[in-house]
Amino acid sequence: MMGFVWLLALVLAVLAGLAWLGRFRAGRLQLVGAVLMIGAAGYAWQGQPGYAGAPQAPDNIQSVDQAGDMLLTLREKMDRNFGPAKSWLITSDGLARAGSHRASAAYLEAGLKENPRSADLWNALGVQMLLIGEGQMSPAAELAFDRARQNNPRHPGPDYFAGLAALTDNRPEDALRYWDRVLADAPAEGEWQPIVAMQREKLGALLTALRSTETRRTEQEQTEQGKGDERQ
Amino acid sequence: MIAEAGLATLWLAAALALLQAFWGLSLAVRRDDGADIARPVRSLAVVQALLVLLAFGLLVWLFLRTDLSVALVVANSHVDKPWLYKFAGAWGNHEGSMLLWVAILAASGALIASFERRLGDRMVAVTLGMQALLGLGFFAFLLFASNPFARLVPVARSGQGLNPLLQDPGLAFHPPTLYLGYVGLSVAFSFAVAALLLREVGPAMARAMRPWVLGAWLFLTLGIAAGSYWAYYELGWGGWWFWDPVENASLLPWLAATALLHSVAVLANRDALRSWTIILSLLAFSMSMLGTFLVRSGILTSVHAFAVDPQRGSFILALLTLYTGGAFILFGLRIGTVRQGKIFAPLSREGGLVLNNILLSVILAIVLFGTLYPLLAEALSGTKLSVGPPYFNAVTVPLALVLVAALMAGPLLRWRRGIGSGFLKKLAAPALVTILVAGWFALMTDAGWMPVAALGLAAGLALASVLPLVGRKLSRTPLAVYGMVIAHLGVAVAIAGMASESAFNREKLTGLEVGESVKFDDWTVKLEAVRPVLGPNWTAIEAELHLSQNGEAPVVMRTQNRTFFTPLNRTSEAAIETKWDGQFYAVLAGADDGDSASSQWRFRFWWKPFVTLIWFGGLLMGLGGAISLFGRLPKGVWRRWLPRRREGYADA
Repeated sequence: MMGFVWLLALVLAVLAGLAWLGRFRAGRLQLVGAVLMIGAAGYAWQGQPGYAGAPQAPDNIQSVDQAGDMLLTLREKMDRNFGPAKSWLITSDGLARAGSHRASAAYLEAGLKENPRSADLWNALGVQMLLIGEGQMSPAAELAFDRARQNNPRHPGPDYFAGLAALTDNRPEDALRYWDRVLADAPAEGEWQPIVAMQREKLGALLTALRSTETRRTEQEQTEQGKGDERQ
Repeated sequence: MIAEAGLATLWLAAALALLQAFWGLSLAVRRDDGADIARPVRSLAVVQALLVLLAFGLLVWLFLRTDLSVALVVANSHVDKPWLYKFAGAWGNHEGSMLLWVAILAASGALIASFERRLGDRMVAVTLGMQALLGLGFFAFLLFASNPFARLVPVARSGQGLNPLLQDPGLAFHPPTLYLGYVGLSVAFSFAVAALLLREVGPAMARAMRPWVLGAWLFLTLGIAAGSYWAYYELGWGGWWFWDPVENASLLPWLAATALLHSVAVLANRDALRSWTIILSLLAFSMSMLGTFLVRSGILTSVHAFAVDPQRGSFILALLTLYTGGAFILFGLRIGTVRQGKIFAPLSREGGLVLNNILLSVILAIVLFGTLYPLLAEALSGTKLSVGPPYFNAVTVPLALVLVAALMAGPLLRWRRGIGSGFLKKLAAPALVTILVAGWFALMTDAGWMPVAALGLAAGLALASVLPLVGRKLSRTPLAVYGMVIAHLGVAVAIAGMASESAFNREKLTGLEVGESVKFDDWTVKLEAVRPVLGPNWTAIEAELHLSQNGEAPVVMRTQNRTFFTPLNRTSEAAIETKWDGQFYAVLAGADDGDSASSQWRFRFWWKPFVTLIWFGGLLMGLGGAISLFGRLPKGVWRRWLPRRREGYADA
């Protein structure tokens, strides 16, 4: 209803302003008032005075959500090298969890200057780019993952996250192929294999169920069409 | 609350515009001076403008606070955008830019109401009435077809962001400067219509109109130059003018405004070219309206195209028809009442300006035809075709060269009486320079005849443009003369830049691996590194190039291919290294075979000699216009600060 309050205040302000500027006789001011009522009627027809605004403040310090945190945790489990790159990763992960993706990426870029062959750092940079792209694989993220592969072809991160990006892009079959490759090359022990294996299994089951539902529906449609042809 | 306040303010402003239009235009049919209405109309114009500016301010506020209950904010902004792009995003869309247009229109009316004292109250009131009538059409368009304050129910979770191509500081300047130009021409239009209605076409009208035309031309010049440079560095195509229909839509009013600003000066000072002035006033704003229609109707797909809604297009087409059709009908009915001004000889300054007007009008017609023909062909036959640089360059450039030659000679002619004894002597030096420079380029380079002629004429024009100052006491020369000199010099500089870039531009497409170098004329370019980088709302592949010339220390250049996510979009960020004699321009075209695992990356390199002269020339033209405009301040203000000046060749 504040919209009407504002409207009334404006009408009065306009009339007062015109009277102050001078050159308006009382009769003409009344005419102005009448015309303003036409404007007010237009607002009353079109406006939504009772609907509150919804400002959104920038939240640069927003922490990553649960899914993002899981991604970072899984990535940590995939890290292979406990050498000098580890200290860069710990700090950058802290920044990323606090929502400072640019600072996290800058930290990783600085780490890569000192350790250009660290597949873990390249992989982490790719993950940061996935997070900022809300799961979409940009060419820059792809380049980061490619660099990780080049420096360590057996690193599971690039293929796992490529699969995740494919899933985000509504390409579940591609996701399954990437994850099969990751699991086929997985070492005997490690913390991440059960998680990825479970994800792969659930996705596979879901796709199978969807295919079977689609097959049954197609068969049903064909049956009904066949019956319709027979009646004719 | 803010959105509702904005909408309420807009409705009240529209209501006042209705009354202002009615009262103002009613004076055209009254036989008395209408003092009882004429003065209140001025007050209405001021208050209406304040309301519209308030509405626009509220819209900007909605964007700055990212109010997701407003549909426009949701569609064109995002909470994580830098504040500059939130601010500029208020007009980086159809509805917001339309509101900016109306705000400038209303503000222009308020300025006329507040400061125009030379014309009678009746003429001013009719002008304000016409201005309000123009505004009324756009108010209706805003309120019924493009409401910037429309609410979204339920509230969105996040905004959709702004077109990444528009997330650039240039966006903050390019549209408002252009709108100041377009809308400034509306004032000339309103003055012209008022003069026709009241049968008062003459020097007084021209003196009132002149600063507005000059201001509009100045802003159009700066806006077009800024837009050209923005396209050059942002789009990554290496070009600075594409004859894109929307670019043409800004060029058309500029061409008309350039002719108009010369005509109105002649009418103001010499009482000649009355009909030319009126028809150019109507034409210039009509071209602005046409541009508005092209950009907002959905007819075109372009980075400039705001709306793709045929209904909105029909609305604007109706406004275009109403305003321009009505104005030209009025012109046809009243042209018989426009008395002939003072007579002049064909070979005189006035005659030169008639030639100037004719050439500009022909170029305008050519550009208009080339712009509209594909649209008409598709509408009538369904055939998609495009008219591009080969047509425009082949047809307009020769005419433009003739115009430059006329520009060299025109200011040296005498008013009214034909050529004087000193004319040929004065013209000899620029003509000689033209021939020598063109001859040198023709003999020493393999450039085509058009760039050679353009370079020669640019050199000649540069000399000719300063000749009006020769023999004068410089401290007592009117500012308007300095403005003319600088603006004409700017034309010469811009043409030199265009011709040089066109004739001597060199390009190389190559593939490089990291660590590999390539030779390109005098330059050696080494690909130092390719890396992924992260920005505020984008990721990018960045290529670091080391550029060196003749063994000098290398300069680092960085070119990027960016991916934005809200909305999803890919852009190319060129790397530009500016030298005194040109620019080296580099663009990362991508990985070989599109595979970033590939070791080879594709680049496009250009060396563009003296390309910066194009925009430097544009700035000079704008500076010349600004100086001329400043020189047109009311004499009372001027006299307080400077010695008494003699009115001289006040052309611009």
